[in-house]
Amino acid sequence: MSHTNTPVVEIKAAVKHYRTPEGQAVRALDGVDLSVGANEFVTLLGPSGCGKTTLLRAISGFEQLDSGSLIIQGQPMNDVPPYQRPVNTVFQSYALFPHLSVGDNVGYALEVRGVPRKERDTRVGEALEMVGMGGLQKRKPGLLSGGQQQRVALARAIVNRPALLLLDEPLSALDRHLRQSMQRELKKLQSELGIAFVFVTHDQEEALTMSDRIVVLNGGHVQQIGRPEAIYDRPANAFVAGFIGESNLFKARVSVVDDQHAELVSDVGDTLRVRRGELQLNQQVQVLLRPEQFHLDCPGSSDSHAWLEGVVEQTVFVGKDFEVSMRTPQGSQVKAVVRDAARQALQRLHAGETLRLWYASQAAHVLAGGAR
Amino acid sequence: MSGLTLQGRNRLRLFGLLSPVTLLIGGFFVAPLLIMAAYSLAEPGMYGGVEWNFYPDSFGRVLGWADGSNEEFDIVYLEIILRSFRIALLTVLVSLLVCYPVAFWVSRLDARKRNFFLFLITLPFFASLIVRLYAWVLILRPSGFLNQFLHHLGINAELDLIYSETAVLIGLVYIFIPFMFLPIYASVEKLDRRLIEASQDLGASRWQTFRKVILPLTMPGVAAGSIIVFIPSLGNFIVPSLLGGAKVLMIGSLVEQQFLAARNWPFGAALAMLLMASVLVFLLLYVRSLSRAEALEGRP
Ligand SMILES: Nc1ncnc2c1ncn2[C@@H]1O[C@H](COP(=O)(O)OP(=O)(O)O)[C@@H](O)[C@H]1O
Ligand SMILES: [Mg+2]
Repeated sequence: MSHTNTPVVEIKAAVKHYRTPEGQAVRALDGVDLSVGANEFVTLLGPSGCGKTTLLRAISGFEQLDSGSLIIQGQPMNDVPPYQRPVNTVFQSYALFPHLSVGDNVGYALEVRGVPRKERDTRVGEALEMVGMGGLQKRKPGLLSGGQQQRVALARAIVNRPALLLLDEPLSALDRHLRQSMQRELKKLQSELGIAFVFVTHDQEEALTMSDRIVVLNGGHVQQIGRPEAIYDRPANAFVAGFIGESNLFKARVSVVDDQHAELVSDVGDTLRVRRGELQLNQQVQVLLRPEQFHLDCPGSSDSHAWLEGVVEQTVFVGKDFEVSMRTPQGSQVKAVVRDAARQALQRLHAGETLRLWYASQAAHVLAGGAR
Repeated sequence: MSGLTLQGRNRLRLFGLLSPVTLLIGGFFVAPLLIMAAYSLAEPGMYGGVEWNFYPDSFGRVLGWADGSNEEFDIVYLEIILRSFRIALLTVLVSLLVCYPVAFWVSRLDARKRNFFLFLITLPFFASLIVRLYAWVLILRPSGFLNQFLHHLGINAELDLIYSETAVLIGLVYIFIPFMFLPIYASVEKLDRRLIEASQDLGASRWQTFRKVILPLTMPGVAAGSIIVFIPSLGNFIVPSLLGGAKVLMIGSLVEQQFLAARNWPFGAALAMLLMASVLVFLLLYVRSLSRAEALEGRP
C-alpha cells in the first residue's frame, strides 16, 4: 500500500515488566517490534491482559520501557515526557475534565500552548464540527451522553493535529448500534485528517472492519502483523487462527504426498487433503478450515476437493446462513456455515443425519510450525 | 384523636416530626445567640451583673463612639481583632501548605499504610488538649526540648519562642491540622488520576496540569478545610493563653477575660458579636470569589 513511506512510530524490541505489590515481575511486553506508517490505521488486537494498553502507554509516554527503542517521527522518544510527544490519546474512560466546558476541554491542548483565544475558538469549533458536536461548546461534559462524551474526547485529541492518535478501546463502553456507526465515523475521520491511528480493541470484528493492518498480541508477544484478509486467511499460528474468526483446527501428520496434494491424518484419525506446498512426509502440522469454506455438494472436480463426513449434531438458522455442527466418527467436531442456496437440501441438515462436507484442498490453510 | 380530619392528622404528624429539630436548633443555636445579642446591648452593672437598659457603648469602645467618660474608645481592641485575623489566616496558610502535599502522598500509599496514617492523624483527639499544649510549652521554652535538641546538633541558637506569636501559630497549626487534612484528603482521594494523564497527554506541563486540573478539582476540599480551620482559630483562647502568655492577646482571650475576670458580660458579648459579624463578612467575600472563579472556569 501507500503506507510504506517513513514511519510515524518505530518500536524495536520493546520490553516492559511491571512489579506487582507482592514483588513479582509481570512481563507485559516481551520484545515487541512495530512500525506505523503515516496515515495508517493500525489496530492492536488481543485478549485482555496481552499488553495492548501497555504498548499504547509506552508510545504516549506514561510507561517507560525497560529496554528497546521508541522513535516517533524520526526522534528518539524514550526519555521525552508525555507532554512533549506529538501524540494524543483518546482514553477508554474519555477522561474529560469535569470542571471545564466542552469548548474548554477541546481547546485545552491549544490553551496550554498559548494559542490566542480567537484562533482557539475557531479551531475548537472546527474540531467539534468534525465529530458532529458543533454548537455544544458551552455544555459541561457531565451533562452529555456516553456517545457524546466519546465525540468530545475525540475532538479534544485531534484539535492540535497530532502526528499520531492513540485510541484505547474507545468504543467498548458504547452499545452495539452506536459502536458500529462510530466505527464508520472513526474510519472516515482518519482518512479526512490524514494522521496515523493506533487503535486498541479486543473485538476481532472491529479490528477486521476498521484496520489497514492488524497487530495480534498475546502474552506480550506479537503473534502476527498483517492486513485483515491476510490475518484471517493465513493466520501465522494456532493462537491467531483461534482468536480471529471461527475455526476448525486439526493437528495432523502428513501421510501421503503426490506432486499436487498431500494427505494428512489428524491426531484422532480424520483424513484431510491439502495442497502439497512444501510439505514433507511425516511432517507434523496444523490444518485450518474456516466454517464458510465448506459446501454441501462438491462444487468442482472431485480431484481438487476433499470431504469430511460425520453426523449432524445441531443446525441453527442465523438468517441467510445455517450454522451446522457435525461430529466425525473419529470424534472431531466440525463447524460449518452453509449458505442460503442450499435450502433445498435442508433435510440433510437435521440432527442425526449423516452429512458430507466438501472443501477445496487449495483452501485448507496449513499453519507453519504446527508441531508444537 | 379519632375526631380529627385527615388534614388535621397530617398537620399534627408534621408538627410532631418537626418539633425535635426545631427544639434542637432553637435551644442550642438560636436561643444562646439571642441571649448574647441582648447582653451585648445591655448596660454593665457596677459589680458584675447587667442593668437592662439599651446601651450601645460596649460596641462604641471598639468601634469609636464611646462617650469618653464611663467607657472609652481604645484602638487596642481593633488591633487585637486584626492580629487575630492575621494569626488565623497564617494558621490556615501553614496548615494548607503542610496538608496539601501530604494528602497526595498519603493517597498513593497502599491501603494498609494509608489507614494507619489516617489513624495517626486522629490519634491526638484521644488525649486532652490542655496536656498536649503543655507539651508544647515544654518543647518551646528556652530550656526546652527544642533548644536541647538543637544544642545536641551543635547549634546553639537559644531560640526564645514561647510566649510569642510564632508559638501561638505553632500551637494553632498543631491542633487544627487534622481539620485541614481530612477534607483535603477526601478531595484528593476522589481526584481521577486519568485526568492528570489526559492533561499531560494534551501537552500541559506539570505546573500547567497542577494549575488547570489538580487545583480546581481539589478546591472544594481546600475551601472546606480553610473555613473549618479559620473560624475556630480566630476565636481560640486556649492556645494564646498557654503559648502566647500576656503578650499575644487574641480576640478569644479578650472575650474570655471579659466574661470571667472583668465580669463585664455586655462588653464580652459585644466583642463576640463583632467577631461573628466579621467572620460572616469574610466568609461571604470568600464564597463570592469562589463562585466567581467557578463561573470563570465554566466560560466557553
Ligand atoms: N500497573 C500495573 N502493575 C502491575 N501489573 C500491571 C500493571 N498494568 C498492567 N499490568 C499487567 O500487565 C499485563 C498487560 O496489561 P495491559 O497492557 O493493561 O493489557 P491489555 O490492555 O491488553 O488488557 C497484564 O498482565 C496486567 O495485569
Ligand atoms: Mg487495556
